[in-house]
Amino acid sequence: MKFLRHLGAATLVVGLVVLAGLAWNHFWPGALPGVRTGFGEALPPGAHIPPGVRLAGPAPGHGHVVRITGLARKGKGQVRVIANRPGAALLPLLFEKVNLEVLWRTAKIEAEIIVAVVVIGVTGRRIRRARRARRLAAAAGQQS
Amino acid sequence: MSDELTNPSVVPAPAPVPRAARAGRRRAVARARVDFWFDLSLLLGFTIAYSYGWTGDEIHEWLGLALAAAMLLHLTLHWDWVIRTTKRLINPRGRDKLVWIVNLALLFAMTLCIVSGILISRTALPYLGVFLAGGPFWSRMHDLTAEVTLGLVPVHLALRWRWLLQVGRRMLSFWPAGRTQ
Repeated sequence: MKFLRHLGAATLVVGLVVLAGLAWNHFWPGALPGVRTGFGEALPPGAHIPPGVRLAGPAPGHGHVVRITGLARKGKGQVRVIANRPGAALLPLLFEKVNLEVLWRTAKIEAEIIVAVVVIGVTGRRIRRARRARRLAAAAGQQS
Repeated sequence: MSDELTNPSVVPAPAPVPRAARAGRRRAVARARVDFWFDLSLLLGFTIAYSYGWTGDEIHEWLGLALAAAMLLHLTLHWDWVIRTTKRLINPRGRDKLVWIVNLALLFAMTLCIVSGILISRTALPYLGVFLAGGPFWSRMHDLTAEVTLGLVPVHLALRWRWLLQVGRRMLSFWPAGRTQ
């Protein structure tokens, strides 16, 4: 019963956020910051591929698309081959080095942020402890 | 004076733990275990879903839908924390306030990311017979919120690193001992 109550409350909060998003789209659609960088954009098969762009792998079968990566922006626009129809043909593609790099890059970004936050947290804690110890020592010195 | 107080070498026998307290502790340990594995699965799921260039459309979209359900469950499981911390916001400690703000921002970013993803779905929803009219606004929203979420998920996790380390160490290194606790 408690779980259902909490689920209802959580659903309500999520619903409010969804409503906020819909209102944003309805009233201020131009106020969304950021321009698409090309990340997440899929080009349909046969679409024009910008000059200088290199295909990172074969384009097997129908339904495959190419995509320009935009997050790392290493060098000029690199192209990854992705598939929008999974199946046996997709699995070997997933473990190709060029595609695994995408997963590796995401994991690396997350790991770097985690390390940064932990280091800041630990350093802040040490500084606070040292400050408190100095304050206590000073207070003890005054008493004696 | 009793011997235990005058002689430090004599260790007093531990007081018997009431059965209710033991059951409560067992429940807390089991819950921590569920939270730990569930949170790690969420992290893994998000990492894979974000790596769109790796998964392709279909895995990305189905995984996104699964993450929507998982996020709702995660919020439900931690609803007590949400209420407790929100009530304390009048006079919170700095750290609590930071965690609360990060979590609220993450809730907004992830919810909008999933909703915009649903609206611009090209494979998963059409497969279910649902055709929604997305548009450039929702595509931009999806990109933007995905990147904000990518920044906030590790912060959300890192702010609880002591708990994660504690529970993870107990479960991974000392599995048999963890079971008896």
